[in-house]
Amino acid sequence: MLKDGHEHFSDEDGGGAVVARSITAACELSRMLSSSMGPQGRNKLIVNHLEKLMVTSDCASILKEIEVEHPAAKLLELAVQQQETECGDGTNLALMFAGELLTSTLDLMKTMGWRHKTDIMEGFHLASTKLLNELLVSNIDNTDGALQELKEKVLKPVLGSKHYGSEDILSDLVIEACQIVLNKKDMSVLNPSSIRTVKIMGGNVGQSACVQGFVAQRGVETTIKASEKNAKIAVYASGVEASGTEAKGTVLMKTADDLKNYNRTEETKMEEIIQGIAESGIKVIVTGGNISDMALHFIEKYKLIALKLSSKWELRRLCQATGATALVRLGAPTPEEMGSATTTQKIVGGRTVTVFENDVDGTSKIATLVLRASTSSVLNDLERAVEDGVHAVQMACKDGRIVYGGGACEMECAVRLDRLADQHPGLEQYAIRAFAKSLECVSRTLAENAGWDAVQVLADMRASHVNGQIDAGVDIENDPGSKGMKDANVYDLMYVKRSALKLAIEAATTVLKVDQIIMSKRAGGPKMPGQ
Amino acid sequence: MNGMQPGIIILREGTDTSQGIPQLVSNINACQAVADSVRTTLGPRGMDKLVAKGSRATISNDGATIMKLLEVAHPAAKTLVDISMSQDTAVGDGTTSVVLLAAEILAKLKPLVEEGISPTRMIQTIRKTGKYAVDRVAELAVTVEQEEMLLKCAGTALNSKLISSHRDLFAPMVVSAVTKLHQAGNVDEIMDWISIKQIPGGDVRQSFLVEGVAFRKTFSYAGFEQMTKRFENPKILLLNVELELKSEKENAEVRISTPAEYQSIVEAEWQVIYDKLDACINCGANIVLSKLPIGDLATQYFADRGLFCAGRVNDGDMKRVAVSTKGAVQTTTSGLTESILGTCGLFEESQVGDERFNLFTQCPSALTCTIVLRGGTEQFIAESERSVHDALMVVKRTIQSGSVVAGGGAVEMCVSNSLRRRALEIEGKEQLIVSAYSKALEVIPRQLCENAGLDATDVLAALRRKHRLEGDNVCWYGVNIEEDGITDTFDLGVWEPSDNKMNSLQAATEAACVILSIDETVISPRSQDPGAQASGQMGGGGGMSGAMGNAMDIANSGGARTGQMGQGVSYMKGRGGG
Repeated sequence: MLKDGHEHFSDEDGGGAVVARSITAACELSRMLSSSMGPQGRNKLIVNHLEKLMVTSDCASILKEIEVEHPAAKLLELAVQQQETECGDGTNLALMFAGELLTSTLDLMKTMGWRHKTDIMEGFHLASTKLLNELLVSNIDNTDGALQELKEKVLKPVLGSKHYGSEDILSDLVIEACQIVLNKKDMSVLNPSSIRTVKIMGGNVGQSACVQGFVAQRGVETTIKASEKNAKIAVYASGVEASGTEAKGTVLMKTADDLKNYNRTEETKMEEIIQGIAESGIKVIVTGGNISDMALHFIEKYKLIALKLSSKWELRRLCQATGATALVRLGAPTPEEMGSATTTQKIVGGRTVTVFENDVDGTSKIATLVLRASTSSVLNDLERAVEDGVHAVQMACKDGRIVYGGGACEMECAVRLDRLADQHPGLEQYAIRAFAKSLECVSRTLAENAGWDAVQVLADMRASHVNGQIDAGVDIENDPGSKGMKDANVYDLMYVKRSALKLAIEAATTVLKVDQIIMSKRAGGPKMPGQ
Repeated sequence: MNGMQPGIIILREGTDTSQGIPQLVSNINACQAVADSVRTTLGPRGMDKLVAKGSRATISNDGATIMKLLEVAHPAAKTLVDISMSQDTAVGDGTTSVVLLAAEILAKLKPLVEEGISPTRMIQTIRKTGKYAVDRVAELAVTVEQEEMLLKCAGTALNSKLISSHRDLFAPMVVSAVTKLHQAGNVDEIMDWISIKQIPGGDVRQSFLVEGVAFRKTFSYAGFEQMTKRFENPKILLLNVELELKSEKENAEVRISTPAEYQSIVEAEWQVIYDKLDACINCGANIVLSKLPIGDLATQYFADRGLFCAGRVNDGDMKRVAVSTKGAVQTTTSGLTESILGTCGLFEESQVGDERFNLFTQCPSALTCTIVLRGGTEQFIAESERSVHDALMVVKRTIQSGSVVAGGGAVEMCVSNSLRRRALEIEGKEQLIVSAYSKALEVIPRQLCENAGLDATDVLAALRRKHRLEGDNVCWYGVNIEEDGITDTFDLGVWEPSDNKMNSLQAATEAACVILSIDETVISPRSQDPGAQASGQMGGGGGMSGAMGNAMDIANSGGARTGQMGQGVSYMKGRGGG
């Protein structure tokens, strides 16, 4: 029936073999990553195909690098990617819950028989609707205070789960940075790309700092290294040099005088330009291109500062930070096109950087976090943690509703779903119960990663929840057991959690719905051995 | 480590529930192997390594240099290379000890890992302990009179290097170079302003410090020998202009209509160069330096008029001359004024070994120094340069930190002692972890002993006892390498900047935490490396294909696919990390 080279597998034998295999593959992936969940999650060391080394516990980054190939596992990966783009966090939750849901389904199908697949799906549907629409919302902690406090509540758990032990330092920095770039009029909009990070090897996390403005990772070209406070800045996208024509031209000379004057005119022209710039009040010149020796000579002569920034993105950020407009022609800018910042060249841990600090209120739209750590892998991990932190603040600004973290919210939902299951007649009951049980995976993984006996912790937590203590979560620090997340100040954003669970459920049901896998012959690929 | 298996119900055949441990142990072993390779270089009696790479041989005692040359391939062990590099950039010295410390912390924790204490617990405790240790060093640090402090720190830094026997020569040299810069407020960019020149030949003792700028005689043309080679208070013109007779611009073309004009064009060309030369002379300069070539015509012209010139001066030297003589580099010869000229007390050309040097001394601004190193072989001088570099960085660091601790293992023993006492007050597993950390610190004195050929066990026992008896008091007893035994190294003048130690402790702790936090290694094949596919199938075979069963066959049928991972991914979990 099929073209040669196609392969297909179906449930002909009625045993649900395809589903079982897909589930196993998907679970394998989620199991692999579950040890990275939470503050006590372990890192993975990944060497990617470019031989770049990374040590991280960030689920989305790991998945990006390990090149998942199995189609069913790929579905989970897509869910994770979706979560990453939408919320920037909660990726591990999505993957783990999907895996857990699939695992319990497989178990259920084995006991109930494969023919009840539709009942199971129906039960899942009931449970997820209930969970997403009612239970999560009912878990919301209403005591939310000022935005500042709110941010701190959700930020620390996020940073803690990426870089445990440094969350206090990092959260202060992230909040400082966010406050710089937050739109003063509309507090709900935060653009994550306006918070930059600069990584400098050496020192430790405690030496990291937040700069209002821009930090360029190179020194200035001129002998003058620091400008006065809030000096005027001109930004040129082009190089500061005599521009050559695009068309090939030749200068024709007729007389000896032409020859003598030829060089002179070029010099005078350049001097005129630089002089013009200097006279317009500019103290600092930043260019995206080259600075010719001749130009540099005059820049020195007029006591300006010049800096080369080869990246277009950096140039754009600098413009945002200082309020300058990037010019494409060489010449004095108009007052509107000028930016202002205090420019200083500094040496941080052996690296020369140029800091553009803009403390005029409201003009800087860029904040830069200078991160310090002694190894490059820690630095990269810190950067990812900060990114996630900024995303969390962004989400908090958008939707400030919070639920208890540390597995408390999931456990509460599980307990309530159990009750729902008890009331439900029909086969769906089993599915709802399995669904509820899957929710416990969050608490269990947290406890396991913390090195506790998960069974004991779970029992403890469950008892607290049944007795009405809805904020009981995993105590990862002191003793195996549960503690009130309200006192511990561990909260999660409802929006992030909801989105992660939703995506996980969708991915899991998609995997379950598959009863046949057909794979076309890969175009041009080598023939597999044995075919 | 009961927690690595998050309740997946389908357990495949032979699933190992303790997957993380062997992987972790293998990483620790790899780190130790790396540390072992630099272990013997520590301290004054440390041996050197000869690393041959292609036809280049490097002999070095400097941890960072060796680590860089070793090209460590193991992904986890690369972390150690990282911290050694970061110590090198941040502090400049102590690169060996930071690697040793990190590896030793891991080694001491290895039995605990094998016993099944959760690595996450360890990381937490190690972080706390590391912080405590750093605080303790800060507490112990002593502030003393600056000059003495700098001299001794430089001496200690040089002590462990190839040129240790000449530290009476180099230490004052290094200190005076750095203090000069410090007084001028330029200590940050130290490596830009202090230049180290190597001249093979002669004796190490003939090395000297030039307070000013010195550079090798540049390529010169005929007429050079007729130039004046010595000026007092000369005016110096710095140029970035080519003083040669040549066509002005490639894109210029001359079209002439009569033969008479031809001569005028030729004359004009000469005129252009003569104008430039006259401009240089008329501004009153005695010495003309240019980054670009100065041709034979110009050389002769200047020589006739009693000037000195040098072309093709390298960029760094030019900068240093500009800074120390307070001149400004000019890119054009038009508009030269008196104000852009630099000056210095004395310029002379002098013979050093078989090289001729241009020396600018008694400069108005004391911003630059040049250290000229002599020595028998190229490798020897190269290593001397690294040693002097380290010493410079240490002195700089000492000025910045302002306080010192005693070396020779004393400060490590002191911190180790207080940690041990602290450990005993802790309840639970943390106690073991803290004592492991405190034991790990002893690696420095132990290695010092071993490298010096002393009985490490005896010396360490004596040190431990001494420190124990002193209790919480500051005790600076460390290894006495000269006389086999222990001594107060602070009195002996073995000092190190406290910042240096703090940085090593921080970096080592952080590195240990990174290694401990890894429970899985995934290595993707290089994208251009088709050969890796075979190993991937092998890796997948042990790791996952068993679980995939038929599902994987399906996936395979689509082409060259291997399980979940990309083709050729070798997947290492619970097995030896290669």
